[in-house]
Parts: sequence; C-alpha cells; structure tokens
Amino acid sequence: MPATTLHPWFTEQALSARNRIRFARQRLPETLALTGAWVLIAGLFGYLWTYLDGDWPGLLLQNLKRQPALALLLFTSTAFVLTRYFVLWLCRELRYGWWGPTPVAERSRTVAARWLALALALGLWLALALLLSGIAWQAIYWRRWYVPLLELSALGIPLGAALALWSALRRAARGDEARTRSHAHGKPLIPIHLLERGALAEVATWQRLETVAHWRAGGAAWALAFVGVLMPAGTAWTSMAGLILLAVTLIWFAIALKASTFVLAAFAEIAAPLPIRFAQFVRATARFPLLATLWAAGSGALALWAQGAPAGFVPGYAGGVAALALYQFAIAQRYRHAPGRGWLRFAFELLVAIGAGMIHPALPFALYPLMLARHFWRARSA
Amino acid sequence: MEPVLQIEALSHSYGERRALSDVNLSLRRGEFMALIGPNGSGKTTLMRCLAGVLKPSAGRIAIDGIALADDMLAAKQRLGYAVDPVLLPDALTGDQCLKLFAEVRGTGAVPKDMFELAEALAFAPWLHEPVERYSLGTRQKLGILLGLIGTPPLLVLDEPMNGLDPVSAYELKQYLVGLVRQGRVGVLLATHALEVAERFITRAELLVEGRLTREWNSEQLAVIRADPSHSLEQAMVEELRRKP
Repeated sequence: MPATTLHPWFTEQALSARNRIRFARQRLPETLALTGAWVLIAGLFGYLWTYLDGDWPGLLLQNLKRQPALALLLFTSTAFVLTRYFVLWLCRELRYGWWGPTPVAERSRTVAARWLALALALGLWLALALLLSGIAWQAIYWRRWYVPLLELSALGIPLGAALALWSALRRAARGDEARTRSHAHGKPLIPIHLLERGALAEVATWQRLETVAHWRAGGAAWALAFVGVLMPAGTAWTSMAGLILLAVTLIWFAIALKASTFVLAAFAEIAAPLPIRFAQFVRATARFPLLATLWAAGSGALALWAQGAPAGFVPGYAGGVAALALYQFAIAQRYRHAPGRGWLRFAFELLVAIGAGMIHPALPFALYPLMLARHFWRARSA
Repeated sequence: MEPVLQIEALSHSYGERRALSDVNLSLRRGEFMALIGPNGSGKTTLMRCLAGVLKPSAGRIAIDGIALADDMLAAKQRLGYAVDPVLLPDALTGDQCLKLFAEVRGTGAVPKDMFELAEALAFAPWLHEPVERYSLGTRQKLGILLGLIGTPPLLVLDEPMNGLDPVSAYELKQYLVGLVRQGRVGVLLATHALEVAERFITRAELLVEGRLTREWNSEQLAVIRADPSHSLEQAMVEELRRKP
C-alpha cells in the first residue's frame, strides 16, 4: 500500500455508517421512536428557549465580545481540548486496535489524524456559527457581537485544533497515547471511610473511582473557561470565587452522576446471576450518589451565598439539586439494563416538568412524588 | 534458509515492571512453535512487540529478514497476526472485514482459500452478518481468517482455539499443519491448550517471568507423545515447580 494512501480506517467508518443506516432501516419502528424522542426533546428545548425573558444570552455574548482576549482563549481552549481528545482516541485506535498489526504506513496514521483535526475544527466552527445565529435570531442587539464573535472563533478554533494536533501527535510518537485514561486512575485524594463500610461497599468505591478517573482525565475542565463569560470586568473577588466554585461543583456533580449511573448499569450486569435483593442493590448503588448530592448541595449553597444570592434561593438550590439527583437515580434504577434509554427518559421528563411549570407552578411539585414512586415501582421488576 | 522470525535480546518494560528480559528466539519456515507459560509470563507482550503494536524497550525483531525498526511496513507485510476478537468492529460484516484486510495486504480480492477455510470452519453462513451478532467462537474464526489472508510467511496466533467448537478447531489445525508441512510458513502459537498443541507442534518454548527458560525440540516432543503416561503439560508443570 503506498505511503500516502488514506488510512483504511476511513473506509471502515464509511462502511460502518452505511451498515448502521441499513440496520436502522431494518428496525424501522424502533428507529423512528428513538429519533422522534430526540427530535421532540430538541423541539421542546427550542420552544422553551423562545419563552426566556429578556435578551440574557445576547447580553452575555456582548460581554464576551468586550473581552476579545478571553473570547479567543475560550474558542482556542475549547477546540484544543476537543481535538486533542479525539485525535488521541484515533491514535489509540490505529495503534492498539485491529489495525495495529496490519501493514499500514505510519504516515497514513498521521494523515488520518490531520483529516480528523480538520473535520473537527470545521464541524466545531459550523456548530458554533449555527448556535450564534440561533441566538442572534432572538437577540435584540445582535449586530454588536455576532460578526466579531464569528471572526474570533474563526481564528481561535483552527489555532486550538492545530495546537491540539501537534500535541497529540507528539504524544503518539512517544507511544504514549493511552496515558490520559490509565494515569487518571488511582487513589482519590481524601479517603472516605463511610463509603468503605457495610454490605457491597465496593460498589460505592467503584463509583467514586470512576468519577475520579473521569474528573482527572480532564474531560470537563475546559468548560470552566465559560465561567469567564459570566464575569463582567470589576467583579468582586468573593463573587468571582463563588461563581468558580459553583461551576466546579456543577461540573463535578454531572460527572459523578454520569459515572455512578455507568457503574450502576455495569454492576446490574454482574449482579444479574447473583442472589441480591432489589433493596440491597439500591442501597449499594445509592451511597456514593447520595454523598455526591450532599456535597453538590452544600458546596453550591456556599457558592451562592458568596455571590450574595437571596436567602431563600440557597435552600431552594440545595433542595432542587437533591430532588433532581433522586429522580435521576430512580430512572437509573428502572433502566439499569438500558442506561441510554434512561438518560433519554430523564431529559424528556425534565422538559415535561419545565413545561408543566409553565402551565402552573405547582404542577411539577404535584407530579414529582407520583412519578418518582412509579419509577421505583417499575425498577423493582426491571 | 533465513529464519522467518529472529528475535535478539528483546526486552520490554511497562514503567518499572519488566515484562520481557533478554528474549532470543528464532523460527524457520516449516516450524510450528508453541509459546507456553503461566498467566502474566509475557506471552502477549511478546506477541504485541512482534506485531509492532508495542515498541520494545531494547532488542531487535526481524520478520523474514526485515527488521521491524528499519522497515515496519515491509516487515508487517510478511506477518499474519490473528485479530483479537474483542477488537473486531461491531458494525461491519465478516465479508467486509475480509475485503478490507485483503486490500491492505495487497491481495486485491479475498483469496479463494480463505473462503474454503471459512467453509471448513462453518463460518461461511456468518459472512454477511454484522460482527455484533457473532458469538465469541465466531468472532475468533473471523480474527483467525483475517490473520491468514495472503498467507504471509510468519503466522502469529494468540490462543486461537479459544471458543472454537471441536470440528472447527480440528479443521484449523489441519489447515495450519498443511501450510507448515509445505514449508510455506512458520507458525508461532501462544497457548494454554497444551494437550492439543503437543500433538502437532514441532517445538515448544517456555516463557516464565519474561524469560525463555526451557525449550522442547521435535525429538523431545516425539518422546513425550510416545509415552502415554507423560505429557507436555506435565513437563511444563515439573519445569515450573523446579524453579526456586
């Protein structure tokens, strides 16, 4: 095979995509139902978007445009993290995957990585342009920020992607592509003995280690850059610290819930042939999410207090976090053998709750215990 | 005749842990060698170094006279490496996988003998099914077929009998033994199925803690085979127990 030929991985991806479409057509009702559900969720989001009061997304973007260095950093870092993650993933696939022992030129791998970085940069810029256009469509003073931000992103995204490509290829040349994930594993900084006691304590430890691995892999740290957008010049340091703490808390909490749900589903597979009662299973899988929720509620409440949020808002936030986590946990239990469908259901019901709140503010509160009980009831026989 | 595989002073470490230490090995066409040893002895690491997936910390590997470090592409053209069943792409069909590999190996179409072997292994009915519908044994068959495409002079197979039904395992052994007897290939087989392997291999090497500690040549294997009260498995266990 000539050294400059495109890597056969691209052919594999094209064939895979074609086959997946063919399989989806063979299971038409299931495909239509799943696609319809996601379209419905997206539609509901769009509908709710039009109900937002004022022009706050426009104002945020106007604020971002006033700080071009920060905006450039934001676009560059987003493109850098995204591109580096996927290019390293591709390098791992091509070296350690089924293509590893095949006679494909090393140069083809580099070329494949370049094409991927280019496609990612282009895709990211198009997605951002689409998002900005959507916001501009609703915004009042869109002329003040729309074109400058598009220009800054057109500069920052290719720069970030190019830096990421260089960095990822350098690491791949050292045969070090797999480092991120393997190095992310390890002991958490603080031992929590409470998690290590009781029956099936290893499940909570597993959930915690999975969260630590995801957190240390840096998959979400870049989102912190967005916090900068929310800070106008001259923000008080307590307020700034509060905002950063809130962002860190929410990002960590999202990772913890996702990792806990992943472990819950994996443990459900392992536990299927074992004589474990449902209550035992729930207790084993609830301990770490419960602790994570307490931390997210406490730390977030502290962050809000530092920002000078009204007194009633702080317990409201903590209660909201706890209610949301409990609801997600109930759905995760019910769909423990199909976690993908669980997330779909959670997103859908969250939107339904917001929609119901628009009809009458008390409606979500009335529906909540009923739906929660129903999910737990169905989870018993899942 | 030039050895089809020549390994000189090969060492590999994972961080501080040494997986292979000063391994020297040579294999010729017409030889069927089993690499045996306990779990964690370094067999898979050695295989992955041969496949160019891992870059060894030290030493030299040459396939059919071509050093991997000098011309990896040319060396890999002479290597047939059975694909690990878990690495197969779920969305592709067996037929598509074979065509892709045939293209990469430069044989154009999938060679006719691969379809004959697929038939013998009872894999033919699965050719147009996606890999995600395969059982472990069916995946294993596809992995082996992919490694054999184009019949490169060095065949490296890691536990190829895992999950295979008795008829398929028999057919595969017959096929490999046929290639070896014709002098077309040299086969390196990592296996724990010693009672099966001892019947058709021509050489066995014992790898313990990353070092080759013992070799059984064809004469010694013939002696083991001739004595019903003795086996390669027993010989290996005795060898391992002798270690301090």
